[in-house]
Parts: sequence; C-alpha cells; structure tokens
Amino acid sequence: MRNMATVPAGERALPAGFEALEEFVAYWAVPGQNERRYQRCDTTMDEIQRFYDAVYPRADEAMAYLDKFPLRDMPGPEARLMRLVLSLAQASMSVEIQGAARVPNAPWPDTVKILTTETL
Amino acid sequence: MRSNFTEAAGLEKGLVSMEPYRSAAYFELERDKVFARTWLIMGRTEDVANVGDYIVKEVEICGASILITRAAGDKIRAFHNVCSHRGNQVVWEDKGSRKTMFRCPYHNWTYGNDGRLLAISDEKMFFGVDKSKCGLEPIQCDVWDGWIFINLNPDNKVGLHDYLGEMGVFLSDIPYPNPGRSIKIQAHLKCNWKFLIDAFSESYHIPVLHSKTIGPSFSGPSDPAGHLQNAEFFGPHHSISLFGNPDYAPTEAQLVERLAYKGMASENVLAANQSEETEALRAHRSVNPGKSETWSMDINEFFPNFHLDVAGGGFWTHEIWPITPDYSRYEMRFFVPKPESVRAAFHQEHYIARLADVVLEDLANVERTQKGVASRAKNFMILQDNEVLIRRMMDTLDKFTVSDTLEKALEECA
Repeated sequence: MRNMATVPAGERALPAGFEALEEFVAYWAVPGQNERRYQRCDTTMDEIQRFYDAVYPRADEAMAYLDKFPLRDMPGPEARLMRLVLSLAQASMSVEIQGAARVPNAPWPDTVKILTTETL
Repeated sequence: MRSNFTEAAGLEKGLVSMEPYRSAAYFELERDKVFARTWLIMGRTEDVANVGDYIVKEVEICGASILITRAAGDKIRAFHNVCSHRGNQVVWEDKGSRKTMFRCPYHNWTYGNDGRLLAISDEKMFFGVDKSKCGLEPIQCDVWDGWIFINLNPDNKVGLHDYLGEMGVFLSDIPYPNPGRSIKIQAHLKCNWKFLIDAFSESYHIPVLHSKTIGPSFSGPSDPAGHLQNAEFFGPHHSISLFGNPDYAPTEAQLVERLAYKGMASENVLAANQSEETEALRAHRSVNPGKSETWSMDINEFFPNFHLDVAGGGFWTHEIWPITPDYSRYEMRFFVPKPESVRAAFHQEHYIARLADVVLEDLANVERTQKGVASRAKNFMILQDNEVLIRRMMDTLDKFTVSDTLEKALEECA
C-alpha cells in the first residue's frame, strides 16, 4: 500500500527556511529505508529528477542544520526534512547511476525487501 | 598469486551439465544428502545476544522450523519449533527477547528456553504424560567464530569444526566490525537455488551486468574483465578474491554520491565503515589472502549455501535457501555501524540503496537464467577459469549426492 507522510494540524511541514521543499514532503518524507526505496521505484524518472533537482542544492545545508537535533528524537518538521534528505540518496540511484527510475529489465513490483532493525 | 584456478582446484575443464538445475530428482538428492546432513548457517551469536533472546529460522527444503535460544548459562541451543502435543509451531514470531518460557499458542503447553516441557494445561485430563520425555526436539547446534550453525541429522557424527576443516582455520578470528547490527535485503525468486549461488560466486559478470552500479569499481583500465586475484580450496568450501579498481572515484556528475562519501575516508565504494574502523579487519592474514595490490573483496563460500564476504570497508553475508526446485529464498545481510548523525544515516542510506540495485540486477538475472535452462534449449554450461567456483560447487554437489554418509562425502572432497 502507498505510504504517505502526514503533517499534524498546527505543525509546520518543514523547518523555517525550507518551505520551498514542502511540496515533496507527502511523497518523499516517509519513514523507513524500504518505504523510501519503494517511493523511488514506484514513480517516474521525471518526478525523481524534479525531486533531485530541488533537494540536492539544499542537502548539505539541511544536514548541517539537522546536526543540532538528536538523530532518533527529532521534532516533526526536522524529522520530515531528514527523511527528504535520506530519500535523495534513493533518488540518486536513478539520476546518477541507472539513468532510469528503476533497474532496467527488472520486474516491478519486485519481491525485494530492505529489513532494518530501526526505522529512521 | 595463483593463476589457472581450475587446474589448481584439480578440476576438468570440460562442459558442465545443466540438468542439476532443472531436475526434481536431483533436488531430492540435495535435500537428503546435502541440506539434511551438512552444517547450516543460522546467524550470529549477536542475534541472540542475551539470555532470553531467540530467533526462528526456516529450512524450507527440509520442512523444518528451527528455534534458536540462549538460555541460562549462556548456552545457545537449537530445537525443532514443534509442540510435543499435536505438532503446531510453538513460537510464531521470527525473533524476540526476554523470554525464558514459550507457551504454545494452540493449547498453552509451556516449554523452557532450554527445551524442557514445564507445564501442560488441564494436565489432569491426559493419560499419564511423562513431561520429562516431551521436551522440544533438540537439534545439533554449535558456534564457530561467532557464527551459529545447526545440523538436522540427529545421528550426525561430524562436528562443526571438523566439517569446516581448513576453511574454519583459514578464516578464524577475523575481527568483524559491527557484528551486532545488520540491514537485511530479502527476496523470493522463481529459480533453482544454485543460480543464486552462482550469481554471487564469480566476477566475470560484474563489468557487464553491473556496468553502471559497481562495474566501474570492480574493473578498470588495468583489468577490464576484473579477473580473480586469488583462490583457495578447502574440502567442499572455497574462497576467492576479486579485483578492485584502485582509480575508482565518482564522476563530477555524481553529486549525491560525492556528498554521501564527503568526510569519509573509506576503502572503496562498498564501504560501510571509515577506513580506521576496518584496519584490523584488513590486516587479518586471510583477508585479501593473496595480498593483491588491486583487491576489492573476498567471497568465502561455505558449502552448501552461505557466503561470508569481506571487503576493505566491512563485511556481509548471503544465505540462499532452496524451497522447491524452481523457487528460492535469498537473504543478504550487511553489517553496518549504528549511525549517530544525519550524515552517517545519509551515507548508510546511499550504501544500502546502491546494494539493493546491485542485488536486483542479479536477482532479475537469475529468473531469466532459470527460464533459459528450463527450456532445455541447451544442456551444458561453458565455464571459464574465473567461474571456477561454479564448476567446483557442481563437482562438490555431485560428490555429496552419491555419498552414503557425510564422512564419505568429505573424504571425496579432500
């Protein structure tokens, strides 16, 4: 089933200064490596490129900002910003390595699961 | 450094039959003569780190569900996960902790994590059950270098250390970084299990099939085919070392990869750790045993279905489990540090994302190979020297499937 990130009423979607990335939160700021991989695999190259082009220029700055918060106990807006940045690593597989949304000539959906002991 | 590995392994150089990959009869021999009587990997001792921890593993080809526990006295034990009452599974989850008793969810029969039957609910209505004789059925279980193995043959007389033989000596005492934390990539594939073994046993395919993902780091101008750097043969087990491109670096356009590896002094593109964290690992006598200057990683294959791969940046394992002649379960575990910063988490996300793509390239490929071999258009494989492990695995399986006992099979492979 499709995972989407939700923003509780009254909370900012992202920390101040990162408003320009808000449109990507619902799709890309999902918890879990397996879920982020799924999002990358289940969309188009155009969407991945659009996300990559928007987030990459802010990624270094975002990580420097997030360093002030505990990795495993971030406030909602910071946690969503972190997940956007983590999704950039997934998106980069399509943009920088495969030149395609997914591994060419492989089935989708596939049976691959990434199983982690903790969910960031 | 060796060359002509096939000769060094004492193997013929002719064609190799595809029949074992598509034969139901051969699959039955593999079940009875290999999986039902060799030592099988179950995991790391860290998977059951504390008293009261447990894991459940499936050995589908033998129809077995295995419960591994750490009970008082710190002893790691294995049992058939089968209730003495009417045969249901006693433990239904695949792992847990802080449990010294297991209550079968069907009728509340209760067992200790040492296997003893402690209590039968409504016992008075039974007809004189001797609880001391109704514990969980124990399975031979032993540990080598932190790796837990079982043997499903209750009459087995070959201990784990004898089974591993020189391979166990060769690889002993490797200082594994982060043995207690892993990320698993799991998949179910419509193929014979041996296609998966083969997929992760040779480097010949890497510059071709993985041309974008890891081809550039496992081959290069000095060795475009990424030839084997070394091979060692130990009874049914073996070890090979792969070429690594010393000049690999991300291209200018690989902005995110450069960002992920920024500030990280790592050994190569498949690095889960900083260099300093793997110094002791790299210094081990049997890591890069040929001491090649252009080395990337070792593939250590434990017969029949366990790969323990060691690279400059860390280590990982493959487990390949047959289910039916043309259906298999594949599990790769990457042992990675616990990230303590967003940058470390970002690096780890990039590392695992790339490996998931690499694995998927292999996994899609094994199903295509299955289809081709099953079509019977061809009957033999043509193997080259860098594919020596595939030839040797098939030779070893042939020896095992015609041997009456494990002792005899091991003698044949000596």
